[in-house]
Amino acid sequence: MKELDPLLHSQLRLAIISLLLSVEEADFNYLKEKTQATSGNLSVQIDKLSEAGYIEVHKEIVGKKPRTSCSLTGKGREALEQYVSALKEYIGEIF
Amino acid sequence: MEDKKINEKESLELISEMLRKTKEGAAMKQDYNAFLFYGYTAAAVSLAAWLLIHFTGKMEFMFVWFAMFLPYLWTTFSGKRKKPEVTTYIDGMLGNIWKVIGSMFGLTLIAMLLIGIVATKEINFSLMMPLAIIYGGIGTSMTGLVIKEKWFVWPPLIGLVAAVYMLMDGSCDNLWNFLFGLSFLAFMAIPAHIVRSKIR
Repeated sequence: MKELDPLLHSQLRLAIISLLLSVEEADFNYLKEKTQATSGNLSVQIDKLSEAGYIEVHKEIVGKKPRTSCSLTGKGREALEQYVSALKEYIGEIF
Repeated sequence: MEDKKINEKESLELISEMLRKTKEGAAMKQDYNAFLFYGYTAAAVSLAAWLLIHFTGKMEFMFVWFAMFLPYLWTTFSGKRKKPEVTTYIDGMLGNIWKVIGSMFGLTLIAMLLIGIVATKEINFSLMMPLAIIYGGIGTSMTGLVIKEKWFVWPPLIGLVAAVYMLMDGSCDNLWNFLFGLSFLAFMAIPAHIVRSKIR
């Protein structure tokens, strides 16, 4: 049986990756609103996913305000696909 | 939401919930303001051009059509000042479609300018009117096909009829202004209102 990716097997990190799966790009405020996470916690988890190469983080200045946006990388998409197929195996074992 | 471990079932539920949230968000945020903006600007400019030419008899007032660059400049600069919170793949695709359409407008203008300077020795932008209807119609139709909205797919045919009439007629007159404004109202502004009312 495949092992579950420990980086994705966490509520907030999995939520971030899942949100980014169906969009091209999402900014920090969007992710914060949808996950209902605190800014500090969200930042930490985004950094972890970015360090693993699962997401790309873009920082820019828009209208004199800093804007941080994230997008899923090919590696992140592949990791989520493998994670979901491993999950299905686990669930299949249970039922 | 916290950084806590979850079980397998909760993981799958979380993935589905997040996918549903992005889908709902994408449906809610479409406002089609750009279609209203370009549609009404075209109608207002066409009315201004028609009135000016009708009452003065001077075809030089066709140059008010260059005011159509104003919505382009406005959307470009406002887009740089404020970016959307989320960009879906459909948003990206539509953005690229309209970039191609916009480039076609620009390249056609440059081509007409060069032909006028180098070949005919007379700069004539009159063909820009039917071509603009065709280009705008193609962009609107493609948008409709991507978002699966028939109100954007079919109305551009009204514009196509007007454009074909202009191309067959050949001589630019004040009626062209009227047809141009009417076309943009018919395939941009009115469908945008209908689609917006369907969403709400």
